[in-house]
Amino acid sequence: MSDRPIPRPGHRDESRVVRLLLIGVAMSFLVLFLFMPLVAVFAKAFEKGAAAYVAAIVEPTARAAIRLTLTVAAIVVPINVVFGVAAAWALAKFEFPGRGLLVTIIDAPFAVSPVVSGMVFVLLFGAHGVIGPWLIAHDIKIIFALPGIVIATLLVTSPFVARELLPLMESQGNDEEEAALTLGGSGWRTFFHISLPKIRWGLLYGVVLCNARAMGEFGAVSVVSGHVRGLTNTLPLHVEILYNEYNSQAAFAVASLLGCLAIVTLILKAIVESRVHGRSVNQYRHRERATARVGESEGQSPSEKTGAVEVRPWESTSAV
Amino acid sequence: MGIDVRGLSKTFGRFQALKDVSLSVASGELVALLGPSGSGKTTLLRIIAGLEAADAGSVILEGEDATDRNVRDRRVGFVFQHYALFRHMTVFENVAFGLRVKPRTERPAKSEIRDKVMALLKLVQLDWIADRYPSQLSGGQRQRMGLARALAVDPKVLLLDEPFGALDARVRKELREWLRRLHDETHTTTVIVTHDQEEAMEVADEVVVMNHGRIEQAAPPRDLYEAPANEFVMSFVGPVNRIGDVWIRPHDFELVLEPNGTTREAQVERVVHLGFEVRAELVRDDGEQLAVQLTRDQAARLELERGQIVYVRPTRETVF
Repeated sequence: MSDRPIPRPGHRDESRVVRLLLIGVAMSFLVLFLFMPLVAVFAKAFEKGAAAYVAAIVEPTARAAIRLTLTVAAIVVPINVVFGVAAAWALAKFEFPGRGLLVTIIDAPFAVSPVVSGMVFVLLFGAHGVIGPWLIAHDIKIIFALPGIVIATLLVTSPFVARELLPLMESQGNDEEEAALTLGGSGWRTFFHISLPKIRWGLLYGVVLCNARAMGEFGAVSVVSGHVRGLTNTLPLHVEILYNEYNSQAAFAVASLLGCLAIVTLILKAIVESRVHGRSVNQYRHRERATARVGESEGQSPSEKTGAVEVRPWESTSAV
Repeated sequence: MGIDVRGLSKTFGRFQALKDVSLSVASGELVALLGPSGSGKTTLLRIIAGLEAADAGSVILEGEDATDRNVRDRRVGFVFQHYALFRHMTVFENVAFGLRVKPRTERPAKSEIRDKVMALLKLVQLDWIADRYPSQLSGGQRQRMGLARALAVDPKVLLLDEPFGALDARVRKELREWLRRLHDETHTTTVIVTHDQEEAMEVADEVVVMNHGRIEQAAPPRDLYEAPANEFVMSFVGPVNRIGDVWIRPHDFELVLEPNGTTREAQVERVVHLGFEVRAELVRDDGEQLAVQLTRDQAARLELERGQIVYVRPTRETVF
């Protein structure tokens, strides 16, 4: 991350062979398992030409799948942003009974297979589920409909934002918020002008990951969607159906959209990551430069220009 | 009365931070809360500010009962040990924050805010770097900006929580003198928390010594030193020898080369030259270790050196 080489004692330098070997292993793994598959996806998608590629994507059921996936993401991401900020806030700023339990529970969706997460909702809302009969009696459709897909995706993607913000908030502490309060800032004002800017890059990072997962989720959604073509198929489900029908060119054409999503996500992630984690390093370097500048410009500060004798002894130690 | 605190108690879990503390600070006075860590001085300051709620007792600011008043309505200026600057705002914006968040009816016009902020920045001598960000400032500059920000809202009282604790010794000393001069100009009722007795004695009109959640003594610096109320104060404000029940300051010894009836024999163990001050460690004939402070001239007259035999007599003793 740093372009400044870290000085290391010579005896700790790994030999050239070991270094090349390690780099070689890592690179070939990347090429073999990440780069080549991605290329293969696009190659397969375009095997019958650009016209067939476009046709597979603009086909009505494919368009419905795209629409559904975007709709789900548009609902899930904002909800999880609110939940994530609220949860991280509560955990970072307050001590309360059950805090440790909540930290563990927030992680649960990562620990459980998404298929199981989907099954839980079938158990709850399905026709033979706990409140299924009541839902049917009131003509409310959750399973095999948009609400079910949204709920399943919500659960699976819920940890991303909170997980990213919690350590950030814990390390930042409360001082700035307290300062804003003593200056007369209202709760909302303090939140939007002080707290939110403090966590904005961490939040964006969480949003990017949450969105990628929301659009790409397969297991949980597969269980609750019912695979109704043109109605409850998200992009990943649509890809599977096409593939099972031996229509692999169309399957890969649609899959390439998810591939593009992955690439965009990775790029965004890299940018945001450098902002979040590179901050301390950059700030340090920035300060070094700034201090040098402080030193320079001090000689030109007004009082010194006019030759007025003014005691400003602390300026001489601005490198603190 | 600037600040009137009556019967404050505060418990954190099983730790009692304050035990029935009462304190009065006259308007326009600068008072230091001095004590070891865990003595309750920061808790007391935060309760006065409203950042912490007391379990019992009342806080009266400028004659008004502020006990149940929200921190943002108390009009206190608070300066934090670790600055708590808004890192995404410039120096100017930081100082302007308290003015910009005022309700519409009280908020000054844009040009007024500008003039006021620039005047404050001039006062703390940061007007020439108003558009810099906190990360571009030195520690001393950051804390002066913290002070300007706190003063912007015309606080009834100014509260500083170990404001110079994170700075190096030289900058700390310079800022301390500067704070005193600033106070002589503005006459804002000020409370400063510190664990540095020299800082407290140098800056404050009155020093309040705290220990284990209680006030041990509140007195002007000179009285505190000349007439300490108890053993804790005696040992906390300045170095002291304890021989049985007798307390003797290191400078309250007379050293001579010949015995004169009232003196006792002692051997010089160690001599440390600190410029004007010379410190000597003696072992008296009864085995008591004595720390003695002399001027450079006195030490030169005695030709003080290690292993030498001298005759020593306390000139002033305190017994509690």
